[in-house]
Amino acid sequence: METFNILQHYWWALISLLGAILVFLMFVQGGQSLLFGTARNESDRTLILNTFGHKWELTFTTLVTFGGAAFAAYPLFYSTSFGGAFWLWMSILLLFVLQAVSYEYRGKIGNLLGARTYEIFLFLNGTLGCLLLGVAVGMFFTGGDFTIDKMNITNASSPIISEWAHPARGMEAIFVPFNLLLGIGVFLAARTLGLLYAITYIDEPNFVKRCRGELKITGTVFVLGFVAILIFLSLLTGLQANADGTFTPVAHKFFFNFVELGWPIAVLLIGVIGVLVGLIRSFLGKEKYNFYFTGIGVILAVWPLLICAGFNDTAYFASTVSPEDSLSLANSSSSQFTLTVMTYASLAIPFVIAYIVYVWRALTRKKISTQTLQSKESETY
Amino acid sequence: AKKAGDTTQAAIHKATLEENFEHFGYGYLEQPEDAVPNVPIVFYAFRIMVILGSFFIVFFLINLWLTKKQQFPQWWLMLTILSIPLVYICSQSGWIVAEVGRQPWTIQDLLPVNAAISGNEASNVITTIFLFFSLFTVLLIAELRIMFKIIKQGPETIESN
Repeated sequence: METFNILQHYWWALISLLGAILVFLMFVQGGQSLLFGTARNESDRTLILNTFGHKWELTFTTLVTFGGAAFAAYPLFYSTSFGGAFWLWMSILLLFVLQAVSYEYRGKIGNLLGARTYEIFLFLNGTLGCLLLGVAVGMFFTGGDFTIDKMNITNASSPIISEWAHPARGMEAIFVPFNLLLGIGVFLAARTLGLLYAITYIDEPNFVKRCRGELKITGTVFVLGFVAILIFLSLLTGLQANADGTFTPVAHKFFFNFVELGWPIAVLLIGVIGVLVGLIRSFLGKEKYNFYFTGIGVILAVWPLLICAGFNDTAYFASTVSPEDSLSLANSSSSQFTLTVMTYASLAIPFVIAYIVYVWRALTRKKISTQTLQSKESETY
Repeated sequence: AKKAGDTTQAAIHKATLEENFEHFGYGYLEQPEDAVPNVPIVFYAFRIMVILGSFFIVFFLINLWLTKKQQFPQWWLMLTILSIPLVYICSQSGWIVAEVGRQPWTIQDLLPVNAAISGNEASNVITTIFLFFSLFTVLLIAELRIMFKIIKQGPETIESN
């Protein structure tokens, strides 16, 4: 494998890992989805928001880093997807802007829109936000309605390389069954992790009891949904990127990617075991580490899925209207120089992770209860 | 030429492109004047940014000294409040220097802003601007209301709550 090829795969692996970590960190969104239904009164809602509110920046910055890494490593994907599927990404952006301000304003005296409005915003972010992000990620497997003509760069009056063919500009992806299933899967993963986090870090027996009851249903549906995603994925036809720049449709392409690469199957299995261990321990009434078992399991289960979207000469963003315009790791990356510089910068990642772990531990030292929130210093949101 | 299968012509064009690539973006400009940004705006924005930036360095040094002495004259406190909008003016001036000063380039010499566009319809962009403008206006009002409420209550009332 030549250096450029290795760098392209290295960056796809990193972006995939960021995507997997993002799904894990969306436990914050899952927690917000408990605001109506699981939470019975204002006190419950304050408890939820002060439990998850300390972590929302981590999810937000991981989402931005995911987008930033995609922009820097695969600019043609970024310009095609973000510029083309405009309304899908704008909806996601809007939902995340609402999340940021809601945490800041909800608990403040004199907030213009009232606490309930901000709670609704957070609930929408926790439900629709997960669904739409899952749909957007689903396009890695199902593709999008776009065309690409690099020669257009010579057209001085309209040098547009990527064009989106569908007038709904990305919103049509919601109606692709696999995308929708993946969106629901992301929501279920987030809600399952949110429930586990609430059970671990909230010290309010009645509320925790309700969360335990809901976890039995949500966790089971999540596991079944994930199995359905794997089956559906293995049935999808993908595009093989040929050495001459052309693409050939291959039935069960993503299934073959798992089999031919081998190691993603092992990672996936470890991930699934992690998810199950966390859930079963929780069902059995054990208290500690369940969130971390399932959380790390989710990372290890999602990472190989995203790996198999791009590795093994696969079109990770197929064009459904003009397959020859599809994007693969080879035809859409930045230059070797850019990827090399980025790779040196990426050596700092372990230090960033160490800092995040330190902050995480500092913020989760104590359980949160209604009593602790009554001391003014501990209530932030 | 590549599409037509004429490899000789394709190689000649590629060599010409590579030879002139560092000036690639100039092909999108219609006249030489287009390569020059709006100098008066950048000139004044830069000076406002530097003057205010320098003011804030001195301002905070004096504040440190006053904090150590625990003495804050009334006129100084008034100046502190009046300085709040100056922070925003300073920040915006910096952005104007960066964004007007870079014109016409998105990427220096390679990609001017008029070429760095997507195929998005203008109506979509206008709708988005309107959406964000409305949202952020509402949030600005909410933010101001919270701030005024807290200022009116004063520190003692907050503590007693």
